[in-house]
Amino acid sequence: MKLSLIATLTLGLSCWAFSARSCPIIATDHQLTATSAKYNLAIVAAPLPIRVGQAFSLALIVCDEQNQGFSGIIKATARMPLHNHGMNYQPSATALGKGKFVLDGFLFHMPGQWQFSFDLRDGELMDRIQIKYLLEQ
Amino acid sequence: MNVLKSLSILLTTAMLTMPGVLAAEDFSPSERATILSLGPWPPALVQDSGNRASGDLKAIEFGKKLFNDKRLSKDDQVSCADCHKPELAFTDGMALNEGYKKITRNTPAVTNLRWNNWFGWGGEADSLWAQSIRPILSRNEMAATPSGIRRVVINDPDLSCRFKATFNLDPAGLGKHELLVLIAKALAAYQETLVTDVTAFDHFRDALLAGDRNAMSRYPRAARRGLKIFAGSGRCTFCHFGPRFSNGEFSNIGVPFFVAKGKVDQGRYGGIRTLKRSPYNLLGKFNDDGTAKNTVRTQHVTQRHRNWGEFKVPSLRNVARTAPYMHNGSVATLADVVEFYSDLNEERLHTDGEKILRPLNLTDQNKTDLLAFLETLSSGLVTKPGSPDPFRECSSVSRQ
Repeated sequence: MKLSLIATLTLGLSCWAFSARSCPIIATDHQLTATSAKYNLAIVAAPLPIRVGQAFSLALIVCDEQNQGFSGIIKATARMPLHNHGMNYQPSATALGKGKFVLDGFLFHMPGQWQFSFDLRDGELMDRIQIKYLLEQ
Repeated sequence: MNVLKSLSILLTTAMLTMPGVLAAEDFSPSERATILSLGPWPPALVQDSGNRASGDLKAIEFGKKLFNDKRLSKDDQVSCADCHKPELAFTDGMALNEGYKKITRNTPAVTNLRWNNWFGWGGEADSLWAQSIRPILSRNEMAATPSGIRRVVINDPDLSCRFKATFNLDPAGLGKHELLVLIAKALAAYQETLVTDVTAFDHFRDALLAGDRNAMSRYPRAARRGLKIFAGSGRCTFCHFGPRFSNGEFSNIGVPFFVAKGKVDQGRYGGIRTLKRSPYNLLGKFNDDGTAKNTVRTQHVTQRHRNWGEFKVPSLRNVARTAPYMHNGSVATLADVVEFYSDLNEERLHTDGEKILRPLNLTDQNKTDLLAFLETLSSGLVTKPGSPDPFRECSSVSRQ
């Protein structure tokens, strides 16, 4: 099963750490969130702000509809849909437990409209959540 | 009072319409933001955490000496400076040079390198010191060997003394690879200091930021019109981004990459393979950054089909002084480069490539203006006051 939902949000990121509590996701001013039918997802980037040509990481948390932390496999990337290209790097994911992950190796090499994409695989089920992000110069 | 007010309005209007007087309103808010993002220059010079010699005065002086030393090549034939000539903005002015054999890539300038993350047209190296090893060992370029370099340093009392003074290590006690890496780190320390000075464009950019119309007026009108194309409709800053006028990454702009019958230059595709195989990359034991924070790019870069035909986006600082152009030196003049982008051949671009490239279809006036702008990106090097000889202890050795 493949679900797709695009959330268009404006970032005002300024902090790295999530709340010590994991699921459910607590709304803050510093995170981007998106949902699919099954999952709620939130990300916070570090360092902030995201800049053209500078590597950054994401702290990510995924909770299911029962507010249980996602324990499957995450594969993340980002692309510029209007330019027809992605990043030149493949981020790596480290699971921290209770639905928390750290994703390293993001780098946006151009200003403009980017789209994060998170593939969540739990056994045979696959869900994709996408988040648009406008990188100003 | 009304007369004075009318006179003031008249004078202001006249000033704004006079040739050479510039108005910030000539740029859209987006163009203005883009122009401001092209500075300030130069950025802060931060020490390279992967190179213990970075920023060290002795290493810089030692590196300068090595840069001009032909003994770093097979049979003492060529030095780094023979191809990176200071009088040619650290290029060679040739399309394709020859070291020991024909070289298939144009010699890039070695200025403003401290802010790069990838080195070489295909990004074969992830540090300036690793890049400094590449031409020394390349059979086509300097054709030296690690053991040959070790012999040169150990057998020359002056070089040996300078090596010891720089690294506090006896070169004779080092293996050939360890010694080669330190030689390369000294070379990198020197090259980091080759920083171009502020340009006419930088003065304009700073004046725009400050709202200083008088200072802005000193920037030629043709250059301003060219800048407007560069930062606006030309969309040049997608790749030629930031104070270095390069996003530091790679792009396929449709320059042919055949180097001989049946042979292609794989560009970034081959560059990533070379990088991953190199014992000198930042994931290896020669990286001086114990935190490994400088390895993020190397860890996460992956080889993709679209990397075929991609080459490094070059900095445009000093672009008017670094002809010929493109990875293979196939475009002779800066005017030809402008022509290239005006008539860009979309047939040559990958079907899975960027969609941001398109022919600019420039008028003759546009081309003249764009050229005028690009010519304002030139300057000499930042000069620093001389310092006492850091190798006084070696002077007696040199005289022996």
